[in-house]
Amino acid sequence: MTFQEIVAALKRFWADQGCLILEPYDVEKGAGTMNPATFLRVLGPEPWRAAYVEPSRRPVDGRYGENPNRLYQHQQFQVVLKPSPDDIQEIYLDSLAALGFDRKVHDIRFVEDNWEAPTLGAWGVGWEVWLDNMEVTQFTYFQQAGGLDCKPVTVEITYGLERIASYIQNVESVYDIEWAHGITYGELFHQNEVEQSKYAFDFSSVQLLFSLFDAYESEAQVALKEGIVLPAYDYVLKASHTFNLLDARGAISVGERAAFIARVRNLARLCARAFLEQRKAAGFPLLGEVKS
Amino acid sequence: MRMPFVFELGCEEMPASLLPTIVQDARTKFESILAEARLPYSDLRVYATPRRLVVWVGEIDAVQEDRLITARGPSRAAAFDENGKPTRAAEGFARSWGVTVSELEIKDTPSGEYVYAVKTERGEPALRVLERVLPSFVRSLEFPRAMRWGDLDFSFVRPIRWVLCLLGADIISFELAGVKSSRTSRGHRLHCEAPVLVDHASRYFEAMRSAHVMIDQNERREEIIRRARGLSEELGGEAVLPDELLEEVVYLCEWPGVFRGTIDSEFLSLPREVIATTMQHHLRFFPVQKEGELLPYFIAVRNGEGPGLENVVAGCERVITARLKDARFFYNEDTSRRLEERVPELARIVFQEKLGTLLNKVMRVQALVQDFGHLLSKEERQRALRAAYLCKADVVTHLVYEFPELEGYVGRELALHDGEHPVVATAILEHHLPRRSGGAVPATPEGALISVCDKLDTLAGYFLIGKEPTGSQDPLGLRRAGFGVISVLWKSGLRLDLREAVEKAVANYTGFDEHQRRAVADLQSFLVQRAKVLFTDEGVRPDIVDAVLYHGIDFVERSWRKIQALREFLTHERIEDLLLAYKRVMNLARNSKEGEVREHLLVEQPEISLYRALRAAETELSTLYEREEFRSYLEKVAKLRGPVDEFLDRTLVMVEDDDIRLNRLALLKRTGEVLGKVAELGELR
Repeated sequence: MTFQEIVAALKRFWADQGCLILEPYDVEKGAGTMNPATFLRVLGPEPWRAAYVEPSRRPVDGRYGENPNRLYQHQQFQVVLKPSPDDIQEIYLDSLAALGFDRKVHDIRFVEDNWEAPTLGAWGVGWEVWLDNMEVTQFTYFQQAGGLDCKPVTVEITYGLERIASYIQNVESVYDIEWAHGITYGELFHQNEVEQSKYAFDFSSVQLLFSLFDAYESEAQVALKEGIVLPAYDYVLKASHTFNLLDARGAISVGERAAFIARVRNLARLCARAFLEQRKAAGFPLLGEVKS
Repeated sequence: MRMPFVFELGCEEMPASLLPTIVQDARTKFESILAEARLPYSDLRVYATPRRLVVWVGEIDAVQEDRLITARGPSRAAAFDENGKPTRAAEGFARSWGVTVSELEIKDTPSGEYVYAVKTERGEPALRVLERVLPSFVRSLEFPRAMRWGDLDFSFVRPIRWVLCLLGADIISFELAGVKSSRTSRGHRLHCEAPVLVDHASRYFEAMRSAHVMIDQNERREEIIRRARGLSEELGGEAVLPDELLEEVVYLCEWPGVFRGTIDSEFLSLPREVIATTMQHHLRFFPVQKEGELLPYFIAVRNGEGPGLENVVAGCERVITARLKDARFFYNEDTSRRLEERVPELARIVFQEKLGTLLNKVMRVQALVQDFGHLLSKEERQRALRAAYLCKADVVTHLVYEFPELEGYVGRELALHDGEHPVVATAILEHHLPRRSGGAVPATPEGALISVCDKLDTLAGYFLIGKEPTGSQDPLGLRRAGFGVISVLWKSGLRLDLREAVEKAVANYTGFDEHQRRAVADLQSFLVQRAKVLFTDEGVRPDIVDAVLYHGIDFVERSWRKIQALREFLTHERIEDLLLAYKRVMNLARNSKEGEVREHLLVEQPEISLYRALRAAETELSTLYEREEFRSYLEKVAKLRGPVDEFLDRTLVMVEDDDIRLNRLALLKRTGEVLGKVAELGELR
């Protein structure tokens, strides 16, 4: 299976489970969770099922393209289902079967791993899934997002596509993964890894980033004041990514860290609250619409 | 009639780290639920696998025990008229309790005579009782972090998916978190597709076994140990099976499939701890060793034993190879520079915002080591100073960034690689000890001294900025640091004066002048508290510990010797002499002021005798004290009871004459000091 066949198989599988198949969100982010299709849609009573690929940027994990498994940017396949179905673990195991992993001849385990995103005021409880001792998926029952209790609870399933692909294709380096037709992951992304790492660790302008952070923060506040939530949330994402860049540059001391995180979290909370209010004012249009 | 009972709560995978506590909690709570429900039973067992919590009772009474109910009604005067006829109040009361008026009893109580209804309530069938109490049993279980799922208002450690509950052959039926209890269970997640029907509680275990689930955690543990040993013997080595890891692995599978895998032997050039940590902490594999050296193998446990072992082995080998390659890359990077070159980089790591950087900390620790360097030989002192300088440098290595639990080990390895003196390398590692309560303490004097200085520096800093632990919370690990200081001083025999050390550690910080005095006092009493806990944990009566530590601690080991001596002496025939003499003396001396005994004012025979006895004993006593022969000291000092008694029986202390009175009080004071030098005997019960 090529990388793109894996993605296609997962999309087909989850579409059959009633998920909307969405596209990545076009603002830099650290995880698929930050896509509004997860972070905002997990709020409130409306049912929701969606799946999408999300390229996720984690500047501190950049390794100049020299490490076979660590990446500045990796691809997540993200699935969210609200409310969490009773047989979700079985469904998930079936999704692995769709990728060719028959549970009878592999060891698949759900090992405690709780999740917390301090910048989003979000946390959940769940596992990392081990496939023959490799972590291939993060499996989380959302308990809070933006500081608000999630009810009903959304289950979030995040597949690490590079891990799964390198296992299926039996390659040791992510760069050797075949994306399609003899085109490798390395061909597509290696240069990006090298250059983004250089930028994040060596060349980014700390002063500019600090001032961008402040600017994004105030722009988000302006938008929130006007009651326009989605542009505000875009700036929260930008502020969060800017914080990550500063962090990778070692520009934020331990003492300052908590304060920066709190600033992003504060905005994320306000966006969550405002979004929920909007949905409420609209009468929660999806209630009774989407059947599971 | 007695019947077997089984309750299986089927969940999505519960955390292996929590299951041991959950099992204990469930046992205690189930025992009390059965007791409250008046259901006699025998052979209660609690088991857990990742997917189920099981309570099994070999025999449980089919019917609840009867209960005698005694209800108080109106007073006798209100219940019967002057002719002894029951009133309406009595009739109403009897009716409401389902007894006749003639069955009412009259009892005399402190508040007068009252009418009572006494009757036996028949026990209900166990089936009915259990239906009611089982849901509340489940709700009573406690977890550090519970979760909600779906659209339910129910929280538990992980989602509940099925409930099997049988008394004999009957279903005990109730509903929990939207799930109805039944006789249906589920087998192994990967190796058993069909639902598992259990027709009778007594056949639960065999039914689960044939569904590839080994319910009993102890059986799984034994199986893992047995097979891991077997596999490692085939390799000519022995499996390293630390308890903590074993416990976790036991709760990560429902049926242990034990197997071995191989690593490329080129990785064996990495430090042992790096390989072992990768295996144990990151992958839950057991290393294999021979004569202390790791072999290029690991032993792992999968969940179940179906086909496809080759996939699992290949997967495990892939993961560990990738991890070890990473580790080797980091190790090579880290050894490309000397450890000492990294020390200045600690200036960019914040120790604590108000307390400066890690480099500041290293300098303070080094200063403390210098202050107490006289406790070591010259060579030791030089090595200790060197190790103190290097002790935090591994914080800025790749390996410690990737494997935080290897802090210290990495420092040692890099120091050895740099050609530092081996003891310097060891001391760098040892200064982190003890890593947990009751853990090993440094074996080298250098390591012991740095360990104590580092911890005291941390404590002093946090006490200065008012971050001393309160309540049960200890997020900064300060209690652990306090226990560490006491244990190291106690076990290593390092003769460091704790009072002086606390003062110096606090004085090392600049800019906190107004807080210094308070921090010193608070930290000293904090450390005394830690010592009290450690000493009483050794099984010493708390009052003995309190007595010895009453005036604080200077040398930890000396305090412990005093405790030992006092503890032994409490069974000695002379103990009464000592305690009585002390008590009598202190009754009067407690409030007396300081003052010298003036010989010419001693006029009566008993006070002269006491003074002479005291003088005669003092030299020997102080020698015994200096030699820390506290047991002999106590025996010797107890002999003063005779002269004390004679003095107090025959001499009036509180006389009119000021000089004489004050002199007698001074004599008592001095006697009291000698008697109570080992411990504040007034604290003893």
